[in-house]
Amino acid sequence: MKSSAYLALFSLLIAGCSGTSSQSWEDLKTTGRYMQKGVDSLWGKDYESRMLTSDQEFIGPWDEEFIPLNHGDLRSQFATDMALPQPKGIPGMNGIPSLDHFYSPSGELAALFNSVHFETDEHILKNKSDVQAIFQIASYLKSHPSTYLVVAGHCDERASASYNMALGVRRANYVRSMLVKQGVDLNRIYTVSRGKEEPLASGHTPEVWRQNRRAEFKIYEK
Amino acid sequence: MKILSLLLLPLLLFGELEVALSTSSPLKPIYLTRCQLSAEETDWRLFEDLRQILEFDLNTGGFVSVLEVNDAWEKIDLSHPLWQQQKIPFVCLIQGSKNRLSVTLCQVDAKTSKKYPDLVLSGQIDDDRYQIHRLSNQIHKDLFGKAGIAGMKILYAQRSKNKPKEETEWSSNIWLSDIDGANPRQLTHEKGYCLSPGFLTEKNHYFYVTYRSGQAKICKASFHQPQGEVMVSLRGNQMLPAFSPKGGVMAFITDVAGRPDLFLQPLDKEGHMTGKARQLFSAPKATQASPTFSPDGTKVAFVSDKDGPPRIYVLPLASDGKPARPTLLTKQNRENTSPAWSPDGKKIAYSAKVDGIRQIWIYNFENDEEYPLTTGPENKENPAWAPNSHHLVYNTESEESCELFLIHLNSSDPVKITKGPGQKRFPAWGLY
Repeated sequence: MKSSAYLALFSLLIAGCSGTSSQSWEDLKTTGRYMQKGVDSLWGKDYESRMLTSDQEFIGPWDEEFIPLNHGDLRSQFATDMALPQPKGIPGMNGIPSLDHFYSPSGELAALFNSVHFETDEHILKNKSDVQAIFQIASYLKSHPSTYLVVAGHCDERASASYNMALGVRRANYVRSMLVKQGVDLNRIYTVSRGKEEPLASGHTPEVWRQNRRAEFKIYEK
Repeated sequence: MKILSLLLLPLLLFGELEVALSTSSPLKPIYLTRCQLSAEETDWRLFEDLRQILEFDLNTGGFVSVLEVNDAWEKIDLSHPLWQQQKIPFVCLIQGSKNRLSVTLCQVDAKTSKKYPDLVLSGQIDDDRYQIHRLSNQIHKDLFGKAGIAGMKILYAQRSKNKPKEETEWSSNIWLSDIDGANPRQLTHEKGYCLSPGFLTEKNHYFYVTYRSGQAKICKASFHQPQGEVMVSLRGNQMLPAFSPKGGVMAFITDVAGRPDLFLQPLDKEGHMTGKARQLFSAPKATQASPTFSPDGTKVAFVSDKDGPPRIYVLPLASDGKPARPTLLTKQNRENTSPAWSPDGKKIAYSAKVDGIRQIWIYNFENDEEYPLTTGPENKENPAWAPNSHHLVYNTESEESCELFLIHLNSSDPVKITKGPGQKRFPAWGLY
């Protein structure tokens, strides 16, 4: 146990030799991630190589829309990262509402569809109250089958604008997948990214950044 | 052992990396006289403006640095030994009369002079400036064998605050201007958001990303057509497009498969979709962004955070369609985004976070080295190469202000090229 601790500390020292303080901190975090994965695998938690147990766990693209990566690669590597195809209906066509007709809920619904928040560089919701909020939204959507939802992913100012546009998409799709896992029809949920283009709060403090790292909801009730 | 480890740890975590930079400039000095006007000439302001444009073009060309005007030198003949004594290799004599501007360039060491054909001026600065641009490009070519960059065009996205009663706080549209920031012209007039413009090889055509339908879509437009047409008809969002310089294929990021993944779309000669888009790269719990093609179209560099903070990877595009593994390119810094492959294929410029500030860095393929191009307190993003692979334009990025800057590899002093209201970002350099 002692020798393992010294070995870990030595590794951290070596990692710290190569760069500035902020780079060393990033190296520490990366090292920590890999160490965590290694420890988890000893207890049977394997992030990247668990096979899906049934076809229901894997939902591929709608037929022939694009050429996906090899199904074998996807099934074996992405077991813990469920991805869902986009809704079949295109907004603004064939009875599907256009996205600019969606609105922020008001009154009683405003509290239900309150924004949920993310940690820095994360797309997964870790706060229990945010996860609970998603469950409540899912419950509402299941009992209101004519309600459509748009999930907008937002980021704080610290990463570049282009990366933040992609991270916002990641966050929106994660929330969508959570809702679908709770039984909401995936054809009623759309995703958009606003990156860091629409900050809720101005400033350069951790609290401002926390407020801006969010997913917002708009609905349309047919 | 325990005490030694604990004592060393803070030093290693909080120590600073020192970088030694060369202080000698590769730029050669050039002296530009004031515009010497004939007695009857009264429109000195026009000539002074044109002289300033010439000075700007020469200063930003990447080979010379224009010296400050020295009253004692103004009347010195071009053949006078003073120039050699002062180690000034090039002298430009500028003269103006009526509607003509005359420039004579003297190469001091070679003891040669060249008088350029007189510029016949219209009196309108917006037109006459292009004559100055052509002249400065010719001077560069005569002195160094390479034409300058004056008069080239750039595209960029300009973000502005909406009026208080509007539905959204911000809008962003695509603008076109000269590389010195002159003649800015708004191209798109969409109510929503437009980002990520770039020039297409088809003349007078460009692409951009629009959010007019709510989701991100890639559009193709011409300078004369008010609204672009959507190029890729996939569901979900499509963003951050890049076009292969060889033509025939486009790379972009889309969540059609439920994640922000890297996709390729084959195109025909007219730039229309042909065949299905192909999912090129995905990774568990990862976000992909910002593809850029190598000039021969055989590789694509892109951003992924699959191993932690976002970094730049290079993926070969196998002709047999089999998936390949990406190789990590940028190792020195940990947050690297917005890569841009140089047209000569030898470098990639990107934005790297160093001590909390995003700077423009260069990865050199010839020696596998990474080095910083910019310094200073402002965040810098979205570098875009000139066709000569020697100049870059990028934007600063902050909540308060975003402006475009021009820099070349021979200098660490960027030049601001935009001014006025609005936040200018996502620059792209024209092909002509």
